[in-house]
Amino acid sequence: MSGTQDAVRLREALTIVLKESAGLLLPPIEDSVLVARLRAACTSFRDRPRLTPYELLSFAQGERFEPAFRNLVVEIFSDKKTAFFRNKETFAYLGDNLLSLKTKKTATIWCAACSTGQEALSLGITWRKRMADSAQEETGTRLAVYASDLSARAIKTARTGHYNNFDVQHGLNVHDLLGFFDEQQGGGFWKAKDTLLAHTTFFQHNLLRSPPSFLPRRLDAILLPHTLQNFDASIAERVIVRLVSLLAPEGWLVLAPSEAEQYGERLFSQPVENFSDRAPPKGMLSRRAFVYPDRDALAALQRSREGTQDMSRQTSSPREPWMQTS
Amino acid sequence: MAKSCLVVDDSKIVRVMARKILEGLGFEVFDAENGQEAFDFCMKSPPACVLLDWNMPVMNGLDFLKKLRSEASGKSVKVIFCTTQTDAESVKQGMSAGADEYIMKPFDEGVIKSKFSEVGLI
Repeated sequence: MSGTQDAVRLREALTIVLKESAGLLLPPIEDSVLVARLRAACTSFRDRPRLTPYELLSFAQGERFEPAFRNLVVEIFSDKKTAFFRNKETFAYLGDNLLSLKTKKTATIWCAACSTGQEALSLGITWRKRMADSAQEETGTRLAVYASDLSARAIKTARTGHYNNFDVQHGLNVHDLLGFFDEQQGGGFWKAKDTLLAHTTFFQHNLLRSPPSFLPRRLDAILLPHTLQNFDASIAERVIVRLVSLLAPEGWLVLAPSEAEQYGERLFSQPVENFSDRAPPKGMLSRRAFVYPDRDALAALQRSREGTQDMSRQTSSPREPWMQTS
Repeated sequence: MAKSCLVVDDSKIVRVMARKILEGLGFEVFDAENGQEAFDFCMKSPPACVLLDWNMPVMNGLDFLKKLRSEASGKSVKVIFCTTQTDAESVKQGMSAGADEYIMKPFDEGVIKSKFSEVGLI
């Protein structure tokens, strides 16, 4: 078998593994990069020897593609790019509307693909700054952020709250850096203050699986920007349906503008401006505008939320017919 | 009309790198090798912003900043430190002296964009 054939088959095998395991598309990378990444995974995986492309292929196709190695492969091909206050307008809007709640005791938000935690901490920073402005802390209002990612390594980093000089300069202004982080001994690293970390519960989670039982079922917002663009489209749509079922009636699903455009037209009926005094930034989709599936089907989905364990293997189910793609 | 940015650094490599990034962001870029040269430039034609190194010969960045802020024409210039002085005390000192933002080297285009956006330059 030629090197080109190896590469083609390796791509085919990886495409299946990524889609089945996490709903992901194989990133558009060159063959050499693909092989190098896979090789790195092999060498870092227990006592695996360095493998040739042919061996990689047999590894990918064969029964030797054991779950732990599969997880490692998914990890190295998943997108971990993130930054503080990515899509600033979203945080400003949430700060003005959601995080300054006058009537609710707890604002609950799920960052469903939080990578190393910057998005979740940005919510905490927004909240604490609003608190300082409005003295709402005295009322007992609180923010609970649930932050998950497919990558166990990313979650491990997120839990520590440790970031290097480079990380803290992407999206974070110097005042917030000094106010919410402590410089680590030796320099070059900063740690989020405990008061900031205290808002967030980090956990590993695959979006194809049922959400964990400790996650509240009436979330005020779910943030998932720049993630579904890496998903197989039919799976992405089913992920959206599931996430929307977890939102409070007035809740928001936050995607990247391009993702909201791609999926919003089909799944969300009315302009989101109709549900707010102020037009939200592009990418924010209102639960109240959600039309597919219909209300009865959505209610059924909520009842059977724990039913579907693996979306990637299931295009339809008797209990969830609306998950079928047209 | 393009905003002007004065890049002040004694390292030619940094000046060239910063110029490339800033020109890509639409700035008209000038450069200076030390604080004194930068101060003279600013007194002649104040730029919209200054990307400022700290440790330089002749006049360091901190002294330049204090001198610039003492002049009426220098108060509105946005100044962003860009330095290897990355400890928290230095950051606080730089900000107290009148900097608008602070970049800890090394930097990339993403950092420049983020910090320039923070101070409303882009």
